[in-house]
Amino acid sequence: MFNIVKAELYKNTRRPYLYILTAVCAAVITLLNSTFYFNHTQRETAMPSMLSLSYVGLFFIVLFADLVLAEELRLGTLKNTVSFGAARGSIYVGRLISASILYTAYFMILSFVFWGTSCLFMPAGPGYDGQFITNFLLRIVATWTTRLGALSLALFLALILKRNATLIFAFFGAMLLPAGLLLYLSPQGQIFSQLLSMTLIVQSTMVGRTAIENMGVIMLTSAVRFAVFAIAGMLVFRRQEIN
Amino acid sequence: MEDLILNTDHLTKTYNGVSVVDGVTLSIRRGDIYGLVGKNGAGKTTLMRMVAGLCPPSTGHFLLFGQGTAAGLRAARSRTGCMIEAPQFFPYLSASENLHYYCIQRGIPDKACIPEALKQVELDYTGNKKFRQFSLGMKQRLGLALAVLAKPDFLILDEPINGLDPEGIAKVRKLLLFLSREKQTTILISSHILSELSQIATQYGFLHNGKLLKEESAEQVWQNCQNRLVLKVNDVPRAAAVLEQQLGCREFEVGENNTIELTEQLDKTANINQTLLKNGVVVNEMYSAGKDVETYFLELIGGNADV
Repeated sequence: MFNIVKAELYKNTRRPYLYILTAVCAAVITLLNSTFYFNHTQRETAMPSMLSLSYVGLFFIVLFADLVLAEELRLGTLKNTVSFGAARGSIYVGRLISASILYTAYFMILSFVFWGTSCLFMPAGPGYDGQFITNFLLRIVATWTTRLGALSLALFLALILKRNATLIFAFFGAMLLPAGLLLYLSPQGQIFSQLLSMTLIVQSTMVGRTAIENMGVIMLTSAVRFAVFAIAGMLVFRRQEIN
Repeated sequence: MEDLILNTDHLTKTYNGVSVVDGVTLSIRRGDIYGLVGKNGAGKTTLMRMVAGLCPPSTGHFLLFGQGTAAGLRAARSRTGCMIEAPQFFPYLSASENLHYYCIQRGIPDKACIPEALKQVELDYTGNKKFRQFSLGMKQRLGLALAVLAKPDFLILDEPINGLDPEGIAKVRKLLLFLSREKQTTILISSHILSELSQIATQYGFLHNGKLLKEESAEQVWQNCQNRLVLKVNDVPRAAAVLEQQLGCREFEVGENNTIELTEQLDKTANINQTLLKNGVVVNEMYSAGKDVETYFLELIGGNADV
């Protein structure tokens, strides 16, 4: 499995795709943060709002699923790996780990850019203290875990759909439809509201502003989401015919 | 046990109730170049895909290097090089980078095998040229390079000469013969170009509608193909009488233009010629006539469809 991860990292660092994506996202973050410079918004006010807005980044998750798996399914290169005798489970998990590493690198760079440009363009108010920084770091970690949960879902969808166009719609659907349905059902009972708060899209939007005590639930839900879709993906991939 | 590289036992693959491979039992021994012959849709590729682990058999089983368990097959497949259907690689990487990727993935520590494999298929000149810029023949050759990259003991090649020019075909033939003779690599190969296959195969398996019709050695196929002795004589009735009475021949036919086609005693041409001459029959021409593997196969399946 280690070799599969190493090979994926080798391949993806030799193409401009990831560098361009990171550069464009970093530029957008810098541009957005620079707007706060003109209205003198304080860091402790703007940063949580920006973090909640970062749920838009969820939609880039599909690109990482594409980098390590969807593209291979589309190109038909997986047969080169499977026919050499690599265990199916290792192939799938290896790709999930590779995507997680690549996403983590991308996420860390953007987090540094976000924090750095926040410090550059926004003045620190009285609330920007050690407690705020600790809490905000925890929120960033929670955001990262929601993304990894989403990545596991995207990889699973890539495996069962095999087509990029369908994958994008399915991923959006998998994020938005359960939330929409639970939102519709929430007046019917408390359980629906609780479930709604555990959906990927709701957790991603509230991570910047919700009480810090909720970070544990967000991280736990994300870990469960990651594990469930990883296991489901392994089970599907074990039986899947490779073309 | 290790002498049997691949041994399938009633291997069957069914899609929607239709058997694409139907109870195939075949054996490939160490050192064989096993030519799998069959029409489009005969089940050649599906059979190879099952052995390569790309699709599971519906029923039946097979042993690869004597291994039949999931873990054993995985280990056995690491000694196998495959090129099944059109070779596929990452279009944005060069030939060398693509092979480097698979070297890392397969845990091959010695990266010297990359230039060596590229040299074997004559792609060592491609440099930084990306796979997407490759011609069909170059793609095919890179597929072969990947198959031989880890110096496998067993090669599975599905139509490896598709898209190659005559020079490329000759080079692939030379490479396969080199691997077979010098490296003792066992090869399972399918090709539509039977004239080409007949130049290297030591064993044949004839597949039709998913069933294995026959397994024969190259010698047996050659003998079955070279099955007539044609005599052009000046006096057909007298020659027929000599053949029947003095040489004891029963299996011959009188053809047009004073010819007689003999289907027995094919190895006694000198004796036949001498006896006929002694009895006043002038033999103007005497030659072995036969058919190529393609004709033999078409006769075997009872048709003339696209092979």
